[in-house]
Amino acid sequence: MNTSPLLDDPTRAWAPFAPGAKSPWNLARVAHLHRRAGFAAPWSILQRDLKDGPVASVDRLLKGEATSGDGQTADEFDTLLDSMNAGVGSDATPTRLQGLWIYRMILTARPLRERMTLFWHNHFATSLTKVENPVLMQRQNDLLREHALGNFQTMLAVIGKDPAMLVWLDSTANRKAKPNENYAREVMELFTLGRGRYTEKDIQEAARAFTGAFVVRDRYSELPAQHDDGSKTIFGKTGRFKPDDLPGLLVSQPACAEFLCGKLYRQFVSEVDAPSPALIAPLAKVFRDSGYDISAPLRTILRSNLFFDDAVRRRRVKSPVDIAVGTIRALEIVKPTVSAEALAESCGRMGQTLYAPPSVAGWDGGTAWINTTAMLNRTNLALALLGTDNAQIGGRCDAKALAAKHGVESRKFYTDLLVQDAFDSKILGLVKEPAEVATLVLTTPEYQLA
Amino acid sequence: MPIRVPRRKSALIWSAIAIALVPLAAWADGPRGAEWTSKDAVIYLEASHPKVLLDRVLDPKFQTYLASIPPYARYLKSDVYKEQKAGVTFVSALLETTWEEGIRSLAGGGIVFAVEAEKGKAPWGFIALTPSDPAFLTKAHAKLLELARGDAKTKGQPDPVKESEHQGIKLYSMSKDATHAIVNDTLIVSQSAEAVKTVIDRARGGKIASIATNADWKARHDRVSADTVAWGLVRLDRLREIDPKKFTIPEMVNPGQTFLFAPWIEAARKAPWVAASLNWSDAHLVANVTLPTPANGYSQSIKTYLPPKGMSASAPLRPKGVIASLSLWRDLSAIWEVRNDLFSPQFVQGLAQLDTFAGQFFGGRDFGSGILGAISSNWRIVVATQDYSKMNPVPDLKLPGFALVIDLKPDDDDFAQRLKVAFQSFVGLANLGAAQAKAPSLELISEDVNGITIASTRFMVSKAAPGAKVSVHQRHNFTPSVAQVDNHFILSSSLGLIKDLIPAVREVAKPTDSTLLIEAEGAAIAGILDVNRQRLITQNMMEKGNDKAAAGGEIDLLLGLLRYAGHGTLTAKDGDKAVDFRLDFALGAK
Repeated sequence: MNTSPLLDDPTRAWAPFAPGAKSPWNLARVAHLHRRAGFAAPWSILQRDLKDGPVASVDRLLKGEATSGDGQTADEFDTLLDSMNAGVGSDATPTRLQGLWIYRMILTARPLRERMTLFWHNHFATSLTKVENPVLMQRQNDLLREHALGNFQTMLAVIGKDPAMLVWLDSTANRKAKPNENYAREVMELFTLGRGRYTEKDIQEAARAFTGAFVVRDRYSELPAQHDDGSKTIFGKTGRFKPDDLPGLLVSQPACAEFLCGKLYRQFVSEVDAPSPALIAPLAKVFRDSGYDISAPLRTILRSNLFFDDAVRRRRVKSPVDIAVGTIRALEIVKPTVSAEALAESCGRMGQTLYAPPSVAGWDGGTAWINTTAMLNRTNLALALLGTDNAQIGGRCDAKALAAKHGVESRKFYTDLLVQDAFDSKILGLVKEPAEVATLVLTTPEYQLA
Repeated sequence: MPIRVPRRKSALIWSAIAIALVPLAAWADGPRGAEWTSKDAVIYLEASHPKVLLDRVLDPKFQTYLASIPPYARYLKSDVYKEQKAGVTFVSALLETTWEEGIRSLAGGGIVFAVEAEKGKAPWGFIALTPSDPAFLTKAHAKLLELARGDAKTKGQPDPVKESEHQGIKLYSMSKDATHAIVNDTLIVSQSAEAVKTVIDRARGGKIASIATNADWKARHDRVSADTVAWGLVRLDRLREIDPKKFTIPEMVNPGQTFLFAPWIEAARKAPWVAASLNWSDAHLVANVTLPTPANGYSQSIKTYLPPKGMSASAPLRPKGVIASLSLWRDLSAIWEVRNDLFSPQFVQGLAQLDTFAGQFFGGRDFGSGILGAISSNWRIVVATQDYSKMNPVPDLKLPGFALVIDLKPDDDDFAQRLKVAFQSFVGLANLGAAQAKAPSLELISEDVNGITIASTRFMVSKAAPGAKVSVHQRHNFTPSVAQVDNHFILSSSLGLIKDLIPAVREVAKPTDSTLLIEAEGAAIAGILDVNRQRLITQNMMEKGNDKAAAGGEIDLLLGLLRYAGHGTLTAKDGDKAVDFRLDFALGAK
């Protein structure tokens, strides 16, 4: 497996990609951009972006498309889905929550925002299995979406007051007499700095700063009588810190931007090639210099030479949600789309149950997505999507008509749409039936990689 | 006006034949066919008045609903439909008629479909189409053959129609699975030439004891009225004889079915035949099913299910906002006494536990004699909408209220009090469980209405943070309540429903002639769905993948169908000779 030489050359790595004779702006790069930054794109979007070039394509992903998959404007669709989210009641089933999100992922005009919402769901991993309150989980999801491409410090501040998070981390009652260290520990270890970048004393003092924070009747509230108003020393700074002071203290640590940029690198560049501190440093600087604007390092990554380097393509294993949502978007199964609830259950069978990450550290990802059972379920999903037996998922994709609509021979069409340069369409041999061609491509090892 | 011949002519011709002949099994007025059907035929179906059926089906209102049903709407948009329609239009034009008039002429006399079978032999059947205009049948038949042959010729294919002759009548085979002939001005279609020949033999004076000589058939036939669009008779005894494994109902079915339907299952197990009919007028769609009772009578244990002479279920209750109402005659005390004969030993063991458990709530009374024995045989269940505007808090998902109304026997003074105490005990137990699960508890309250004291409960409401938008759980639809009104005891899921039921149960219940009556109001069901419209749309989008407009369209269709179905009534009448089931829709005009 080739490793990109750019990994050892941070300046060139993060410099904007400029297409040239050796590295042209081709379908493989366009599809790579959409696979990583969104959930794969339909043929017409790939062709449009192929024509428009990398700058316009990346900008459009950052800004979002004008129209959603159901034909409404992006704002109308968001308003509709927001109102459906607001209708989630305490009796909503986990499948309903998952379905609402999957439905949005499939049809959204803002796939990068949903990609980042999923990224933050894995980062601030919180599970319904313990929170047991669908309304709180939905509110957290709304928060993650609202701040997905916004300011990280602001997001950290709202997450620190999010009832679902506090229930999840047993931090619903932070009393002066007995400071609860759970949230303080996780916020440093998993959310901002990473292990080894803080001391036990920092955790104890941060826990004191967090006293007085309670969840009462499913709402965050601060009880002054329970707050330890004494002086605390955190990361070498001393003051009478309160809960609101913690985000500022955390992002002021240089390790914070490095830790987060390391995670962004693994999400968008490679989960196989470990980045050197020197490679992450310029990205972290961009993040810090922007005042922790999440879109700043993202823009740098998505426009970079490294992102479009051949050697980083397929350096990630697609998650079940990537497979499910990406396939449906690529195959244009949008009007009607599939049963979002059935698809959510299918993702669960493949190992990714939304709103229920396995631990506070989120899903393991990478090769952990691939095992015998998961592969069998990935194949079953492909067969269901292209078949007619499964009424909830199947019967909505006419593989022959789709290739014909775009005027491309089916073997070439499904290779170019789904795996591009990963293999030559000729290896599909004698398979001619479009549905069989599509199924075959969807079940190849290459298609399992992002 | 010149006729434009479609390009895919052969497909169209065959489509036309298929459409014109085979699906016509749905339509049939004094049709021929019974006289050519053996008295031992296992299935006899007759579309007596195809014209009536056609009028109903082609009614614009019905067509509108039909076209809104997604699979049918998809079919209407499909290439197959367009091709078939073009074929039918093409052939109709050649015959100088419209497809509707063509069908009326071809099958207006009625349609008969019969299946005969013998043990160890493959079953066979035939369809007999009696035209209202025999000349048109001859003309259409000749034209279709001409088209099929002409089409094959232009393609250089062999003659697709194989002809043979039997008793001077021509048989035509267009595939190995279909042969037809015109016999006595009637079109006979069957799966084989041999079958058609058998029909010809019978028509040409072959000796046959026809089904028309069967007294049961004749009795059913005599009931055919002007709005009977179809009726049929199935010989269950013959089916059991031919394939016992498939058509014999086992002695022991599941306890739920036994508890609810034992005599009707017994009748179906032993009945020699079952008959059904469908009547369709402007105002009503009525289906009747008749099962004869066992020739030697029911077993002693099953007899406990049947109302004695002069007894029956009372008329269903119709309080304000009723959605559905059920009234059943069941002597549960008598059934309890014969439980060993009705249910499996394992199930009877489970019932023994119920006996012990129930005793604890009813002062140690025996479940059979002390509890069930204190209740009369009239059981009434009501489902009704609630006044959601009066609820506090108003639940997000709005559900109807449910109530069970039982009549207490007059000679057991303290049983009503026992029921109330049992209700309070259940509430106490529920609260204990809720406390352990950190779930909201029920608060006991009491309310007097027109001199009746209602013991009621309501779920505690969690205090919300000021200004917070709070979701209200569906549990707040429920305010479990009980009340005694004269000798009636009401157990209801809702305080509002129990208040509405008080005047209704005080009215003297009208006797009926049925064991079971169920009524449902399509408009009321539509109403309850309509108040949950937004949730249903979300559900549709999540479960079917529709967008909002398509989901809303499907919900509107469902509401429209419910309103069209109007007032539905299902009755089951246990007679000496037969059990009669009747499903009647008073079709809504809205």
